[in-house]
Amino acid sequence: MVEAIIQGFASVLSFSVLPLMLIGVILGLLIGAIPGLGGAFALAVLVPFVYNMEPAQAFAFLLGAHAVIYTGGSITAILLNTPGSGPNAATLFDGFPMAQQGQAGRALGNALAASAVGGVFGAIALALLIPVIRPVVLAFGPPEFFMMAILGISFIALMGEGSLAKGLIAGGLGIIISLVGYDPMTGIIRYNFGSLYLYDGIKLVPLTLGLFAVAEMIHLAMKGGTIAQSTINSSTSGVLEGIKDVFRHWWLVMRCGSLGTLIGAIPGLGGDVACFLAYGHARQTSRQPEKFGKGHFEGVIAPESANNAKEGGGLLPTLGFGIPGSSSMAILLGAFLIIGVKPGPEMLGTNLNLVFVMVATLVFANIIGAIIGLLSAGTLARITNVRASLLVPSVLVLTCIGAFAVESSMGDVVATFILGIVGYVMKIKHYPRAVLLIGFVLGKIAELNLHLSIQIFGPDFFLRPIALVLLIITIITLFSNQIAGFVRARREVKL
Amino acid sequence: MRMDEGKIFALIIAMLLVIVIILSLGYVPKARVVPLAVALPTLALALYQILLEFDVLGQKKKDFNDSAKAAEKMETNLKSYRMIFTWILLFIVMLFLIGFFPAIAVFMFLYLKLQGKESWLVSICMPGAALVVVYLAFVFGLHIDFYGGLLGELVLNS
Repeated sequence: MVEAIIQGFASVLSFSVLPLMLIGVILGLLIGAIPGLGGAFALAVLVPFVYNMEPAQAFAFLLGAHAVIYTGGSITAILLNTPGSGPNAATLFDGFPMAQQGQAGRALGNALAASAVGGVFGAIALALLIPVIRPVVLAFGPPEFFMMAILGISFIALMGEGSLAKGLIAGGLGIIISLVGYDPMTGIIRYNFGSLYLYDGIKLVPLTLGLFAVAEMIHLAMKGGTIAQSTINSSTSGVLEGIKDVFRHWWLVMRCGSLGTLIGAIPGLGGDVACFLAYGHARQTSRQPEKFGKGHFEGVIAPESANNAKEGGGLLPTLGFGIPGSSSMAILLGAFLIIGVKPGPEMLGTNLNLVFVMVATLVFANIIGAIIGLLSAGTLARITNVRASLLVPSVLVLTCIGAFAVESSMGDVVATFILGIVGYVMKIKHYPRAVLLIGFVLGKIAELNLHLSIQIFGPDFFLRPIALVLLIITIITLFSNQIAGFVRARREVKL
Repeated sequence: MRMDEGKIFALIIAMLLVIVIILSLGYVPKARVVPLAVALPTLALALYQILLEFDVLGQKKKDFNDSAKAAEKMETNLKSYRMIFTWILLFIVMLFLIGFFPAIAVFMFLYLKLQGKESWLVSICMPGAALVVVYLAFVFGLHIDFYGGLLGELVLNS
């Protein structure tokens, strides 16, 4: 075992592997920063290059790129309100307000350091859990997925700032939008209004780009000026302050890293859920929950540490049983076969050093990705001071390319702009867009798993142990304010 | 009574929810249970929001200057809306007609020159640089095949 660990780390640091990992990391950061293009896209584009590589080289290259996708995506999320991909969406909620307040450097420091620590956490979890993960993964079925989705949706009640009615309307709309298109349980096409484009439903990329990136550019074009509404603190001290925040709140990083690893390890739940659950958890447990959504650093640290940690988690079922937990992992599984490596339980015996090549790649790629990002953070933060007349056309073009590139669909481009107008109206009339996004991501998961749960386990499916625990956590979440008020009142009475 | 963005948006949401509910009633029970469970309470909240927007509940403080100010603000907003939505529409139409690369160049140039009032140098160099970056990164690097536009297809087919 120790020999395999040393071999794995030595392989990654060798002259034949390290340069390929560095190239992968740089490509991953660039692809991640382009709106809409996520990890699956990066792997699909890079897999053809690995045909003639040795297994260690191929995994260092592919995983190096994939490990830092969300690190790159966090940069545009914070600076331009434009997430690189779905899992970066929760970073928008507090990252962009921080940039508007002139704290772009600090927010970038938060995101990049949290990504690195979360990524390393996920890698260590991969190394430790791979022999014992089977019972954990098998314990999660449709009832647990449903309860996790409901737990995520329950955060809607906590996140609506100002008008609760507007928050709940936005959440409801998000769920309904997620139900548009083909229903896999009944085979019915719902709410497509005769449009062929809507057969597949509305996709996450156009929705996120429209609601946030396009809406923000419309707002900026109308008001003029720059994104940063006050003098920007792009100095090294701002970035350093962001890094310090992460280490001061190491317990939050660990908790969100664990959440990300667990969600990544469960096939079928989807990585987007991890960032929202981590964000909701951070808000629920924070001493300053009222600051969330207005530019609070904990709201950046939580989703970013979960995002990168879930990569280690995602590799657990892929390596352990040969079951890909996400589309990215399915592509990676294809790369395994191209190189001639058979994942599954026997891999832990015959190719253990290769497992540790992956662990080492995740560790080094996350650290190197964060260092590259941090070195350029001060300069990148100045984007928030670029005047609207230059920024608006550039971001609209980039958004349009990102929306098209994922599925080569002009429908996605049109949808992005239409949703951009909706997002703008929501922004100015204070309907929380973040809540709509949470409803959208979790709505479909909740519906599908509700039907599956009833079909497989009957109407009392929520009495399964893990589902019951999740139900109790959901109830506590919903009534957390009342519970806190009750405890406070009791304390005051005692005093 | 003057309409503003809030009122129009609340009315559109309520209308869409009514349509969703009506359509849901035509689906088999399994396909309609979740949509109805979400849409009905959301509609109730949307109707409540409409009442608030139209001040039927009398919660907003009355001010004689309010309606005049709102009218003035709406007038200014309408001008800005027309401006930005025209640019977006123009960009989409150009994308469909002449394809990505020409549309990006023309849109960026026109926006920078006419809307941004930028210098000729910036208005020409920025779209040029954008085209080079987009070509190198997406076509050369990522092998993305961009839409060529209806006019491009017509020329190729003729």
